[in-house]
Amino acid sequence: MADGDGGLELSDLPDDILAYILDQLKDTHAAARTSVLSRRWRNLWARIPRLFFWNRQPHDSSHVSDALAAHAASAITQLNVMSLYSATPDATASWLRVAAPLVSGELCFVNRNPETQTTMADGDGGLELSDLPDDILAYILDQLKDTRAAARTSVLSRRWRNLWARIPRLFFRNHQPHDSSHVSDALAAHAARADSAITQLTVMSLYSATPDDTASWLRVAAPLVSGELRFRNRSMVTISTLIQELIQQVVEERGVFELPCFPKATAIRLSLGFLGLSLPPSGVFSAQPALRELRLEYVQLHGECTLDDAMMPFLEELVIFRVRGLANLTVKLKSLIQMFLWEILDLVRLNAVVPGLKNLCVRLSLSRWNLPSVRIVAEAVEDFSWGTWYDPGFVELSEMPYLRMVTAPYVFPYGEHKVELNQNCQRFLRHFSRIHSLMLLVKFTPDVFVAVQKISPFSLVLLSSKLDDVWPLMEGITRLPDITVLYLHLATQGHTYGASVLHILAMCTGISKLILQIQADFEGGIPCSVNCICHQPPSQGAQNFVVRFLEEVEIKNFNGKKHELDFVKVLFKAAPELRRMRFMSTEFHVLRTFSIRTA
Amino acid sequence: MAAGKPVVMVTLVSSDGQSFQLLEEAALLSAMVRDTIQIGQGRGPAGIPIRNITGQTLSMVVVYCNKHYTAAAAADGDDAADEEKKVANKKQLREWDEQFINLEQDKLYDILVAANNLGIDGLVDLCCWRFADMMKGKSASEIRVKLGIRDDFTSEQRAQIEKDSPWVWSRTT
Repeated sequence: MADGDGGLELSDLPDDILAYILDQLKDTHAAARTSVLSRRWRNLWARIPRLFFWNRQPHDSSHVSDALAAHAASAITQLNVMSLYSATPDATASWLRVAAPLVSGELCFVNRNPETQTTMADGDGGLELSDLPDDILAYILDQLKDTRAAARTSVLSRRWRNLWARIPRLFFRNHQPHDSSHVSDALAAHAARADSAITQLTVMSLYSATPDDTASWLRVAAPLVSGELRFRNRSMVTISTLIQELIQQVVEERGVFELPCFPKATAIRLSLGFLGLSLPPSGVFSAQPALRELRLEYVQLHGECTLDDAMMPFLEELVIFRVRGLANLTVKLKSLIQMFLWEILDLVRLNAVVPGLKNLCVRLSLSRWNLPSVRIVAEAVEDFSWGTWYDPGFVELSEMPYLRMVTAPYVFPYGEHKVELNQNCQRFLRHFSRIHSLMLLVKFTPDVFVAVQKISPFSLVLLSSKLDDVWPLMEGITRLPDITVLYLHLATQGHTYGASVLHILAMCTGISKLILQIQADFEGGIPCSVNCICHQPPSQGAQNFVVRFLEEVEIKNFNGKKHELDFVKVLFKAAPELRRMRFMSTEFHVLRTFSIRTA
Repeated sequence: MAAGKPVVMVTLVSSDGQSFQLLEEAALLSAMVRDTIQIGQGRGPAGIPIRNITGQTLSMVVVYCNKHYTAAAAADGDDAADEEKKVANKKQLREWDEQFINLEQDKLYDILVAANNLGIDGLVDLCCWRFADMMKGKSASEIRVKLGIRDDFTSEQRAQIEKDSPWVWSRTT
């Protein structure tokens, strides 16, 4: 088995040769271990007249004495003992006593020899890590993702002395809330040695950092970072705790710090665990002249915030994610390409003038209370996702002539609140008469939003309800814009989706491509039963329609269940021009593609 | 899926004369192979000679390239929007990587040198990560032993270094 081609038979060799092979191990311990191989090997190691011991333990060399005693059968022509660390006199004396009468040739004892250490490490003498160029060694240190650990290698040898400072990415994990002086010290030490700038600085504070402390290392870092700054505060805290804090009326006051100007930074990503970020009274952000990407997550802000070309002339991507305390947000940025605003709970007014924007995603909250007034002027937008309450009285959107893809708020086929929620989606869609591609997010088990008092409009209890419902299906959605490609993301949670999909298709019979993405997870929902309403066939109108131009269908996460096959059959009947169907299943991590041509 | 595309193979020849055939696209993970093919060489039956890399090492490199090419090709077929699946696939590939690179130190060293010479960034990363992993949580003398580094400092010099940068050595946890 071991030799692969089965041709080699080591045991054919005479004993002397085998002993010689063992001799070449230059390690008596390893040689002695072969005694269990077979009976023949039992005492082979003891035929070797040269003994080598590599002692790793300063206090205990008993294995040397033991081996000498066991070997005693034949004379020892050479005894080598290498002690890696400093051996104690007692331990040394003890094996020397045993060896004295046995050695008839040479005795060699090396204590604390660095060369020994090298030899020990590579075993067969092949490896010499130091042969590698400095860049690779620095790269290995980079992979530690821990600047302190990397800096500790500075005592390894002269060559390693300043290697850590060649790494342009610095990582710190801060265990102490009040003292992050090691970050400042390290930055200063790196700056003193490094010939290159810092392309990435990551600081993780496990617990809640104090504002003063945060401000102090940020000041040191500001002129040094020429790439990306990442700061994650309270990194031990789970996302669900943070979401709880997001919707609570009162949270622990964590203080505020000011973000200094980072003249060379191209990306700033702050996830603050609701540590406060202070903006000057004007609400104007500090200037970030090189910044391309700004990401604020779990931040406590106060009042208003303005981002404009004067302070961030090159900003391309803006993400504001789960932020508290921001009432007024003004964004006037010419270079901005992507804007992602997600759960900014206290928002009263949003005013965005972003002429270069291509990607826009707004999901403030689905609650109808405290609707912020929103004005967005973004005439170049191509991809627009709106996941929030839509009331034309509060929302003013500019013309978007280049729009290609629209993602609408959730629609619900079933459930007691569906009408109200579906009407929200319908109001939003009425804004568009024609779109190239539309993405509808279809949720089968509705989350029932129950407002808990008036403490906070967002203190909603989410309950997954059964699909007990009265007809008609998907009430509230009556008309879809004129579209070419329809994407349906189906959060089915195990329910049958055919009726719902056909119902939607009957409203957009002009499409040429349909893509169904069935969400894979079934967590949380109430399982589908035999009597479940989802098994009811679609209405008459949704059974007799023709999607005349439909040529291509893709179904992702298709499992081939009976109800799915039934749906496909109906689809074939309704789509005379259908040329290509792709089924993809993630179940078995295989990609199955079928091309079907209709006769 | 790729029905219309002709299958192009290239041959890599190790320093000890062993030949390895693989898909050109997989071999293109190597910047060195990329450069060779770009100047119009290496497509012939003689293949691309890879100096200083033995067959044993090269065979491992080829396994890595094939795996990563296949994974990338499969990912191409997927929908870009399916974030979850992408994350799952990435995680799977990473697991494969970590198992693949769980090697004896001398083999790891050979592969790192080979990957560096061939310009396969992902594999260089992976080897460096593995070496870094070996260093984690070890004292300086343990690292010296593990990686075969000769200590050429005097103990006074070492003490001075530790004194100079207290942020490195103080225990704050």
